[in-house]
Amino acid sequence: MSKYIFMALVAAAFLSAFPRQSAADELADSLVKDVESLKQENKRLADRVKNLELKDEQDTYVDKKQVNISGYADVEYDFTNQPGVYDHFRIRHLSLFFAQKVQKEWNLLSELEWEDAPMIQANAASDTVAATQGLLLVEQMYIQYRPGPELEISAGRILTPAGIWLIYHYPPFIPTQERPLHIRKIFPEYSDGVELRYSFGLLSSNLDAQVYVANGTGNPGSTDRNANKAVGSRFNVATDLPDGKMEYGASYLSQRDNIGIYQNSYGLHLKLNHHDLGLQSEYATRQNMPLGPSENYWDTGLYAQGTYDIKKWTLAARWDWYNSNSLTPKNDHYVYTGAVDYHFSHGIVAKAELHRHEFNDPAQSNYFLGIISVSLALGDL
Amino acid sequence: MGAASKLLAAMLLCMVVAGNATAESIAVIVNIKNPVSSISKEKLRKIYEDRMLKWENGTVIVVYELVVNDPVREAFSQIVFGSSSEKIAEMWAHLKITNQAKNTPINMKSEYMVLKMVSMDDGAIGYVSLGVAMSALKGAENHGLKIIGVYEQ
Repeated sequence: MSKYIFMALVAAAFLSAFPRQSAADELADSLVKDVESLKQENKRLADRVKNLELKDEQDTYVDKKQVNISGYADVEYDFTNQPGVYDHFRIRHLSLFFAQKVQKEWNLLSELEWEDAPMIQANAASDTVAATQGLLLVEQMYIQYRPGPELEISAGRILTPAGIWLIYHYPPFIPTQERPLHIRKIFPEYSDGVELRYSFGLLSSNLDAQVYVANGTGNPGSTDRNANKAVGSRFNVATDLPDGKMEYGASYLSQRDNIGIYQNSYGLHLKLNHHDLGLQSEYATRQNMPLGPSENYWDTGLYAQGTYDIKKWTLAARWDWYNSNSLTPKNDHYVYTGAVDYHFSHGIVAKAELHRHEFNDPAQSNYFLGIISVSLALGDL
Repeated sequence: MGAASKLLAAMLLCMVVAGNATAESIAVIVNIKNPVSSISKEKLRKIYEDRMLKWENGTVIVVYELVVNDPVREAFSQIVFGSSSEKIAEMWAHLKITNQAKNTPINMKSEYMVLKMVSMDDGAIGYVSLGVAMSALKGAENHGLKIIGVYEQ
């Protein structure tokens, strides 16, 4: 009998213990589920944060609709022994670019340039201006249609597509403040008109072709003083070299100027980069054909510039020659340049440059010009 | 025989990837829909110098880049251009300020952003460190990617 009682007690104990064991398991299961749920929630929140960061990145860099403002500024101290010119501080440029991708295929770019810190002061007593100094210039303003990266059509004021320096001349990114002699003389600084650029691969090289129609030199906008239009083109080929790159090309412009001289301008350019060494050279010449019995003449220029980068330093040397009229004897002008640049970052550079100007006309005095400058780029470049 | 050669090729690939898997290894990534399976340093250079604008199938290349002071970008610049990232950034700044840039790279603040953007855009190309690329490929969130080149500094 006691045996049965003992078995009954054991069975009762077992049965009473079993539900308690089950409750503990349920609790453990519940806790595991909670932990899993928290882990998933944590992952979901982490993903959300990353996606918000991504959205912010897209808003900032990809889908930006706001006007992008960039530009550059440079100040310098010029010292020279040129007769009649004093050493001076110079606020050389403040240039602001306003660019916007208005729609996927439509862009606007404008560049406003203030040179020598312009001051325009109204005259309170009359409609005239009392005082002006410096230069205020809309250097570029165009509306651009760009159906793809290889094709652009720009209408407005463009930098004349010719050679290298006329386009790539912004102080924070070039080795000297002074430009070579023939730049802006044979091909104009800017042109008001329409330009088409097409880029394509050719064998292992890349070719950019630009053609344009414009008012011509000295004829901005509605002040165009003749019915003739200038027609020009530029070709540039970029190709790889072992441990380097080479670009070369040609430019052409045909126009009749405001006093009736028919002009054909031709240019050749070359740019070589090998490791830290760079070579840049441009040759340009213009055939001038005056109306009437006057004899045709040429103006011609050539420069060659070498650069060597050593970490944050750039050493540069340039030989430069220009002849403004082939009919005038002893009309050659030479400039020998040496420069040392220090790049604080990719948008801030300090330069020290020395230019020796020599003339083969004994009536003109040779002189030197030294410039110490700081240039910086503004905005998201 | 065919299976054996495939196995051998896979082993060789693993050895190459493992051999290159150092801290300075850079993985060039594209969208998985891109038919390109490998890329030479010369082509990379052309893409990142604005001289190759479209893939062979005509898709416009969307170039993703890291910010200038990122060590991965510095390593990439040294590998591809043999030049500092500052120097390359200077070239791009000059192209941008003159509005001559045809296909401006989009700068991303982090490698994660590059992975994400490349996985979302059929024509995209970018680069990240190999470790980041490998872990992204293992994860569930970046299956839109593939590695088309591994370079070591």
